Amino acid sequence: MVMFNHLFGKLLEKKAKYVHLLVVLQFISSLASAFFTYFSFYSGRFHLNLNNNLEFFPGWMALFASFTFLFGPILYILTVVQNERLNRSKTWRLAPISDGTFYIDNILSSFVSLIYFVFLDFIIALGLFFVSIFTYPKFGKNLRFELNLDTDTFLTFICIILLVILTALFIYFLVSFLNFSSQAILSFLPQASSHILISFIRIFIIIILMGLIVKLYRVLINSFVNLFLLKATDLAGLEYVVGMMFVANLIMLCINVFLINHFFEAEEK
Amino acid sequence: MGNPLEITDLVYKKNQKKIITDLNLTLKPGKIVALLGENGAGKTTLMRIISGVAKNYRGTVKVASFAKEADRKAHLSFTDGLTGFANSTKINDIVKFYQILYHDFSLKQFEQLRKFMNLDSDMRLSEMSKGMKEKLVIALTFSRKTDLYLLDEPFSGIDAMARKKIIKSIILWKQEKSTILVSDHFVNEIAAVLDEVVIIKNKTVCMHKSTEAIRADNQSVEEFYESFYQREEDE
Repeated sequence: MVMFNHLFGKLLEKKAKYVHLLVVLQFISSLASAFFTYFSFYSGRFHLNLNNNLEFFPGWMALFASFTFLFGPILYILTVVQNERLNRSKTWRLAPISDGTFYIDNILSSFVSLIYFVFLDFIIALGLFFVSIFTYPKFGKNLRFELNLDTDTFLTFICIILLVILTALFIYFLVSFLNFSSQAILSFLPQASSHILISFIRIFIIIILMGLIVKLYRVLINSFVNLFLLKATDLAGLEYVVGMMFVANLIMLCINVFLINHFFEAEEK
Repeated sequence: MGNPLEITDLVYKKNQKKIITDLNLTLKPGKIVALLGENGAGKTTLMRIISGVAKNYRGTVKVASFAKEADRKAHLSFTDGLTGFANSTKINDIVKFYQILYHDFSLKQFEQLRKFMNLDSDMRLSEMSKGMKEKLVIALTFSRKTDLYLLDEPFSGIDAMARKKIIKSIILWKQEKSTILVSDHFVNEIAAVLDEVVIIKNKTVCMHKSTEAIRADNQSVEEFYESFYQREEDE
């Protein structure tokens, strides 16, 4: 467990660099966008556009918050790529821990880096929110929060959050599965001399594996979801989907741990 | 502690090709052993299997009596190309990584080796030549206090003068009971520090002999290695 924690810390430190870079980029780009929305440059100087309904800081806050939906997926894609690089890295795979545990550590640290990104975004947006309130008292006065939390809405909200988390993890597992299994299959095939041919074969294997997964998914959907729909209401259906997704994640994780422990080698360099 | 390395009936196949067949090898504590063989003989593969980064092999591999891969990795130090670090990484950061991941890493030992290798701890990987990187790798590898050191062609990029200096000093850096398995093409240069020679040919260990026995036959290690191949060709 000590090694798991140490490795987790190092992996998170590496991934946090991307988080910091993207948060800074998001901050700067939202500031630039806000600036060019509220100011225009003509006759050699900047002029404030007064025809906007929002003031500068609230506008910046709104832009920053909306940019999360652009930079979040970018970070997600970067972590997907980085996961697979680290899985293949001899430097990391030499750590005195089993490869399966290393894999779990790697995925977990990516997931935590995503949460860290959301947390930093939230803190910055909150900061801009308070700046907006202090600079424009009218903005604060006009704010009205209405929280209507009945049990059904709350459960649906929790289910949706869980579904988003499980889907993010599922994509991590799916990419690893395709990487590990295609590499493992390749090492069983006769050696090809050309890199292009190897890449072509690998893509072909990935397409076949994707086809198999889709087929398996359809079978599962037909046998399980129909059964659940007979029993459940809309809300219960969402809960079951979350449950199914959880089971699918668990299966994918077990397969990936098996593949990395027994077949997926580190690079030779 | 048992033997630093015990390999029994090792078979490794990749791409429908047998790379290692029925390989058996036992190394005793405190030895410096050369792993010799032609290019593609399977020296690197063998080291990768021992360290657990190569998969899907048959047979038993034990490092300091441990067969589990995680335990094996904890009891050996393998030269690594440092490809897991970004080019902008400083030596200091790499050292921190080693300190956290390997409980047997000695900062004091590393500092001595770093000074010996003339490396600046603020240097980034991108600023280092191939030879400097190899010096760093050697310093990092020997800063761990393990039972087995695996050195895979560690001197190929290092200039002749520094190489001689490093080879002479290897014996001072290792623990008394630790064993070094080194693969290298500069047989004559490492010969002076060697205790044993292991030759890999035809996908297996075909010769494991002490340098004492070789010298008793009035041969140098290099002559023995060359004559071994000559004999094979003649046959």
